[in-house]
Amino acid sequence: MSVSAVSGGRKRLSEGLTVTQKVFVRSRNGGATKIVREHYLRNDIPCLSRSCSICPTIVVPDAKNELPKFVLSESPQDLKNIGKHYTVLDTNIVLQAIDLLENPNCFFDVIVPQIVLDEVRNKSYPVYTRLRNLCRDSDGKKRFIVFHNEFSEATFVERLKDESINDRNDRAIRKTCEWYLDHLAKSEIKIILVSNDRLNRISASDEKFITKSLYEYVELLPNSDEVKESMPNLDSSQYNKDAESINEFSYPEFYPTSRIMGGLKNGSLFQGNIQISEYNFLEGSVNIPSFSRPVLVVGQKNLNRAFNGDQVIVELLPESQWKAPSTVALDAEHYDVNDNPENDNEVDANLIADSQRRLLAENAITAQKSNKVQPTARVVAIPRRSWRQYVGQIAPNSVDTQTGGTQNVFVILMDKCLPKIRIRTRRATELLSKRIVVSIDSWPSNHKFPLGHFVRNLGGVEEAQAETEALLLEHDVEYRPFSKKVLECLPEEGHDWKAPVDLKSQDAIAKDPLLQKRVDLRDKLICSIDPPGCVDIDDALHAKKLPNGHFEVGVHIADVTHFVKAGTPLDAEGASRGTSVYLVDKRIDMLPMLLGTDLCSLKPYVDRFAFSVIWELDENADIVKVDFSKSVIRSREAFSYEQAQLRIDDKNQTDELTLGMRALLDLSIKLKQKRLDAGALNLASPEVKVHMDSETSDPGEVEIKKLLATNSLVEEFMLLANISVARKIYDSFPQTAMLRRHAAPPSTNFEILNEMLQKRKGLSISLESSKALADSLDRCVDKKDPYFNTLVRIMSTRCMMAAQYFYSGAYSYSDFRHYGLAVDIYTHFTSPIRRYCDVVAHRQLAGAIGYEPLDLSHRDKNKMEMICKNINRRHRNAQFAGRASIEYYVGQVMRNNESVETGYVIKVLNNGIVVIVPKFGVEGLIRLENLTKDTSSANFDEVDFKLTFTQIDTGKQREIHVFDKVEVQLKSVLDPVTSKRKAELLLK
Amino acid sequence: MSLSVAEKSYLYDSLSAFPAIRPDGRKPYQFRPIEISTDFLPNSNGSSRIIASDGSECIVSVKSKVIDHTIDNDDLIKVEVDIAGQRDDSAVVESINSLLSKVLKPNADTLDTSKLQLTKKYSFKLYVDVLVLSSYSNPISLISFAIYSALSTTTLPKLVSGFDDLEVEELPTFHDYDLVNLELKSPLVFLLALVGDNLLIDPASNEYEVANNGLIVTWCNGKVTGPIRTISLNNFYSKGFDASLLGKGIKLVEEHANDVLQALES
Amino acid sequence: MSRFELYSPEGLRLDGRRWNELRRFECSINTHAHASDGSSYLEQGNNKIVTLVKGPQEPILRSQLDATKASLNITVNITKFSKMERSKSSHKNERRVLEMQTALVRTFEKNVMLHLYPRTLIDIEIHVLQQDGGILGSLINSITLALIDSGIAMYDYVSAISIGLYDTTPLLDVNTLEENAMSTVTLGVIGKSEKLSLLSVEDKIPLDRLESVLAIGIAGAHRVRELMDNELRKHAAHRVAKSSAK
Repeated sequence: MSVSAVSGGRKRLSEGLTVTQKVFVRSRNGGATKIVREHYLRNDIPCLSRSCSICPTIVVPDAKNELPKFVLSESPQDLKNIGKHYTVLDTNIVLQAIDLLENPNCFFDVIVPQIVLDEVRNKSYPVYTRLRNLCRDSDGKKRFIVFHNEFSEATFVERLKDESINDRNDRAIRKTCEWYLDHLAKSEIKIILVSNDRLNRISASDEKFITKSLYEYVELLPNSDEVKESMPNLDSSQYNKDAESINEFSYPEFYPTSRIMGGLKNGSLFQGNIQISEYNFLEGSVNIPSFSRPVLVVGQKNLNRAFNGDQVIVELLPESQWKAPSTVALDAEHYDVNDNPENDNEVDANLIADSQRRLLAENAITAQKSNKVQPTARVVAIPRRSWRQYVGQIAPNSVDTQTGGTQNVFVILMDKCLPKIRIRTRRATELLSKRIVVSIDSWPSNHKFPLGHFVRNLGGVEEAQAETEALLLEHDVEYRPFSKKVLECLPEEGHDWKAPVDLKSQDAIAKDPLLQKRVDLRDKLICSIDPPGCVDIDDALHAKKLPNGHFEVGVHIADVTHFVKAGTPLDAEGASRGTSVYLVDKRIDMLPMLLGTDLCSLKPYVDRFAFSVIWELDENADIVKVDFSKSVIRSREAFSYEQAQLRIDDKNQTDELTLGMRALLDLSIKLKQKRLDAGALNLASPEVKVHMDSETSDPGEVEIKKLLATNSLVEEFMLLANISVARKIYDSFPQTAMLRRHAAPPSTNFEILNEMLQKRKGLSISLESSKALADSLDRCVDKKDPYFNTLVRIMSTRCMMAAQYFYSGAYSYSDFRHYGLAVDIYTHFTSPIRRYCDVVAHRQLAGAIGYEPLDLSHRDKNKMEMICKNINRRHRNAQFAGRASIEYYVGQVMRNNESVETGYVIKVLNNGIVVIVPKFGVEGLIRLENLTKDTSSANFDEVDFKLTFTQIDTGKQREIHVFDKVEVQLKSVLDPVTSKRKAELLLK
Repeated sequence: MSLSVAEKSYLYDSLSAFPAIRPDGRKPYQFRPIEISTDFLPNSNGSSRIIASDGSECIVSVKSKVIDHTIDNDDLIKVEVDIAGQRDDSAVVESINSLLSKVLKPNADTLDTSKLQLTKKYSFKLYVDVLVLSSYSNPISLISFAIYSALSTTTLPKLVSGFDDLEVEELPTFHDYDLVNLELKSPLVFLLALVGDNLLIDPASNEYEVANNGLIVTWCNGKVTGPIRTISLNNFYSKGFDASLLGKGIKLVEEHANDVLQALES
Repeated sequence: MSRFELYSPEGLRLDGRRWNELRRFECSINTHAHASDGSSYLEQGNNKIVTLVKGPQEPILRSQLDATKASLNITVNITKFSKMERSKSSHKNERRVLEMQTALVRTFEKNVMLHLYPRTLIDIEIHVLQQDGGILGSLINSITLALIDSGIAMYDYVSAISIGLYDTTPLLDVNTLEENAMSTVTLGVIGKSEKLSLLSVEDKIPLDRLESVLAIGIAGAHRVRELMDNELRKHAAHRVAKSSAK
């Protein structure tokens, strides 16, 4: 929303405070509302410069009785021909060059006018957050401040008649510069306004302060050569004189907002997020609520500059252009501009009336239900970009190694769903075969590819560190060390922290009044069971037979929230990371090491704080009663799964701890059976583990994960704890309880798989209920091939919905259901060290049992909504990052041993087949060119999922069906264009 | 304040004398002073507050809403009266409401609402809300003046999207700041009291008490228009009147309405 | 997520006030001398309120007659045009308005010396012409002013104010945007004392924060009382001057 003032009408209220009215019109959904707000102007807004002697006398303390800090240096950067200066930023600079602003080697002592901050906030919230962080954290080095020009009597400007809001805001920025210049006249500090808005610069030319474009400003800097590398790449013809930009190519222009709003309202345009096909980067699909299936968007011009994940507005194409989803594999790196297989015949859409468009939409919905021809659409606007920083490498063929100067080169991104990016750099030759980070600046309609700029060099391709960093960046995982502010929240004692020996001691209670509410469970025989080498022990268990024949079973979870209090920087960091990320060679912690691996970790032989769930279970493992309490425990032993198994199996061990463990195992088996009876699913994913050579940290061998009975022992009790806690917190906080749900998969997800099963094996998967699904999966067996069942499970997993975190107010009770686990309510409670959901659940449980009042942020629907959104995203990213890491290392392992392995065909395409190799958990596309010499002889049978071709070596006809077991030669190759190692499969 | 029979009789005689002698010394065509302020409700598109010298007070707010006139084809001006101390379904409120809706009925000659059309599909609809804080006689005349002032100072958001949206729909979008003057002149309503053969404009409450009848005359754009009505002002003196008085009344309004208009405009 | 920066790290609110600052507070009394026995017009920020006190007068209904003290009747008319968007319903008989009326009657029953006017009715009519948050507090202030104008005996001023809680910072005298985005408390204070005659908490407020909220609220209400007192004294001086001039 824009800011403007009603002309005239300032009223003085008291010394230094006047009030005026802001009047503007808000257009929304076709309506227009006149909005009036009070606007107070004051004279106590400080300049925050250390060289100023006036402002320190006018400042007033805030609600916490703190005075503002004077941040701007008295001796700022001294530039040649200009002198000492402060920089004032225009909105366009913040939006275009936030990376540059964050660069530690340029932009010091920067003034951000409030109006710029507001404009940035309206245009891009993420950039706003980054700018705010800069202002918050940079007091030492970068020294950014916000000057509230809109609230200062001296700098507020009223909108003039016929003045556009932009002109008014530009004037406000200039007024701020002028004020600073006057205000700091004594100290001889110059003011430089940096703006890429030419008109703003021209208007400022009569002023006394200096005005520069970003380029001009950077030129002035002593380290300008280095800084220029990270300059945003915009379509300003001044330095884009090459041929590519002025070719005849152009994308259709986007529709104006009024048309989009109207079209969305009357049902002739649709909005959704676009997903680019993994196999074909020129094909996207958009999920639209009124359509049963995604609508296809095919071809470069129809995609119209959309990126994977962008929020787009689409318009249906005429029926004559509808088609089946492509069965062609196509990726960006191998895609050549000139042999574009899609003919981009343009339709002048505006000639079709909306009434006809609605008819078209109805036809489209019918078509989706009946036949294979799918409605297609084209993108007409992109309301929200998903742009972030991307990792890629320079395409070697786009570099001219002869000329040393600045040149335009293409960067091919690691994400194969995305187009290549054009950047300008003078270090092209040096950056060849390096992983680099780039940022996208713009995509003008006359450019075939988006424009971006170089941000950072991660290191050489296939250097472990560079690859890991690339992977973390690609999945948006925060991996920087914890900041000072975060670490300051940790207990002062550090590793020497100890739980108080006597819970009743006055000293200890004085330090922590809540200690009185803790239960002493140090007499219980508690142990933990984890993977070998586990250092962050979240959970521990105990069981004891009660005199009445029942069992007392306790699950004890690390009491993370004792150390991570809501509202602290530590909490904020944990909330933003959302989860720990596990890579093959690295773990990125959600919380600092001190907590995760020491103070919170339920290590054996020491006293630790825990959050305990204690049940009384009868002999059938039914819950008789459940109790929750914060406690102090002392774990007797930390077992690995194997050790625990050995101990239980060892008949000679009859001590109480072992008896307890045996009881736990027995109960867990009963629990599991009950769960399976209720219809819990047993799905599979091709999980492998990479063994690292402990000396060289080189990947050794790949192993498929094994499961022991003790694995499921721990799992069952964790599930039970999660369910019990979910019920309790839902009871206490019916609107904001942190829960986890798993929706039933829509039958359309299983359509193709079922068709394949039907055609090839005469089998089918039932979707009536989770129980039916589980049973039908059990029936999917091929007597000749025991792996077939696992294969079907893997493929089914891919058809399932993803489980998600949510707050209880967001869904009705019936939708809380966890389909996979077949329970009505579920949450995550048992791993607070590595998941933020569990932290919230801990706090809510603590609130529910009256241990301590629940923080407001976990009682507020909006805040919970934000938390859920973030942890869902982080969780997904962490999973992808973990998988990508395994993929990379599997590639490294295969690099050394080329071999022939057994694989299964899981997808048959027009120009290739997709094969999965269970041993390595890899899958890959075998292109038709690599199957046969004569691609024209190949015949693709869509109905039978069959590809027929002439084999290369034998010259015989060969048929490949889906589910076929095939021998493939497996090797790892480095793609020369993308420098990405991929498993290359060749059919034997 | 009620008058005794003797007082009434005296008053009737002086008012029906020729020339009429009004208790406050006014001429038959003379109004009592009124005080008008406009634009004091920034939340509304137009507003006015009118106070008569007897303490009658009325506040008018004009608010706009964008509607699809192909679906919602009611009148583009909707007026609602709320009289303090009266239920919304009371006879006074209903009669004033119905009279005002007729007065503000869109009509090419008198009240041209084509200015409210935005595009082929969308129009502004104006909600005219009248709050009568206090009144000692029929407030209709006062209300019409207040509505006139409110409408003539009403400003509406400025359309920036296209006009033709019938085939390819566009939602109207508006300038974020500029407001346009509507300049809609609504009719004025005059109330005359008939006492004997005399016509008295703007009768005071004591004059009400002895009037033989009341005449409501609507005037717009320089001429008298409909509705014209009679209205009984009391239960005691009411009786029929000579048809020629109707013509006289209309003439009186035609002669003096312009002065009132000028006073309102200034 | 709120679309606004409700309270910036620099300590400024959306409209430019600091945490402990009141909105513009302007009032006048005796504005409708013809129409009522006591009247006031109050602008607190963009709240605009007309209040008319009629009485003590003979009750219209017998049920309103109390032989020991006067009955107090308060009607709040929230006009359809009082908000940005015009509301379709007149707010009469809305639960929220009825509750507000009850709360107002309860507050003033204790502060007006009703026993001095047995067998009468004191009728208070309030018209909200425009509202912009913290309306209950403004209503109380406007009633206090109109009652004083009417000359009806009261023990002391009742001044009221709304306070929001943004995270851990209490914000004095909230406007609509702030009211919609956070938990708020309205409190009414008797005179210069720290006695509360009304405390209305409609959202959740953590108990440990309530104290700081009340502290700033009481200080704010005292400031409101002072502003009302100034206006009354000014008005009185003006009247005295006028009558002695005659």
